Amino acid sequence: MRGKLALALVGGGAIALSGGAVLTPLTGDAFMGPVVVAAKEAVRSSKGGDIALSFTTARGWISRHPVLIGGEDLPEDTRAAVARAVAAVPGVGGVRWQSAGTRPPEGGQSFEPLHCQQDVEGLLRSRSIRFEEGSASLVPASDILLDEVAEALRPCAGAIIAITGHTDRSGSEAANAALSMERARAVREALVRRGIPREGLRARGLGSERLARGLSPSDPAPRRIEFAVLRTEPLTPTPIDTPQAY
Amino acid sequence: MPLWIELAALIFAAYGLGLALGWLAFRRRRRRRPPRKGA
Repeated sequence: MRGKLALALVGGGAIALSGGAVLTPLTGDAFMGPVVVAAKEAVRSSKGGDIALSFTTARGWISRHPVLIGGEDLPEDTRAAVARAVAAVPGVGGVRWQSAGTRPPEGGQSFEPLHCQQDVEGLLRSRSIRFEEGSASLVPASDILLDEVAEALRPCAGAIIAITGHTDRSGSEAANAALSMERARAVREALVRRGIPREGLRARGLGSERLARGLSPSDPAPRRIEFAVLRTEPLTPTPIDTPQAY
Repeated sequence: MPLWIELAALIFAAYGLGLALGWLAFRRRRRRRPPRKGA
């Protein structure tokens, strides 16, 4: 019984697919002809100017979902009105703009990323993230500072943020490198627990490779964690932010 | 979505509906007719 049902479904699927493929070239133009004419008329009547319509997919197949091409210099209201008018034509499945996407066209509106690196540097100028002697466990007093650092980094979520651990020169270099790496990882985990996305955080340990200048070897300042915003993604409005424009 | 896929989906939906209705009618007919004695 199950075998027969599966056979009926697979056979039906094959018949349907081949039926669609065979019937569309035969009847597609007859079906789409009046729709295309009505859609072009809708563009004209809503003052779409030079906006062109493409009723084919990227592979050249006929589609009920036209792509609106051009009209970048038209005001947003007009573009939205044209899109609505075309979408309202009976037979049209839905429209999209060729120039639409998650990024606006060149020269469009964009926002500078927020200055989170400066904010974090400001926080760490007078205070530092502290660890237990010779270990990667954070001193409880560092929790408040980490809260503030996480808050400062939150606007840059999506950017790549490097967390670099440094140690002083005491002990072997291999041990220092391992310890600084562990400390950077501990800070990363602490930030992830505070809601910063893990994908954007890169932890690395440099040991005592780069000592802060002008400090004596016994000074605790070289034992530090540095943050650097390596790459920022400009925040741009998406179709969800401005649905009427698409 | 290309038109031919939409058409294929429509054909498949109609086919599935026909299959389901046909099966229901077949079951109903079989229930109404009592089994033959000695069969």
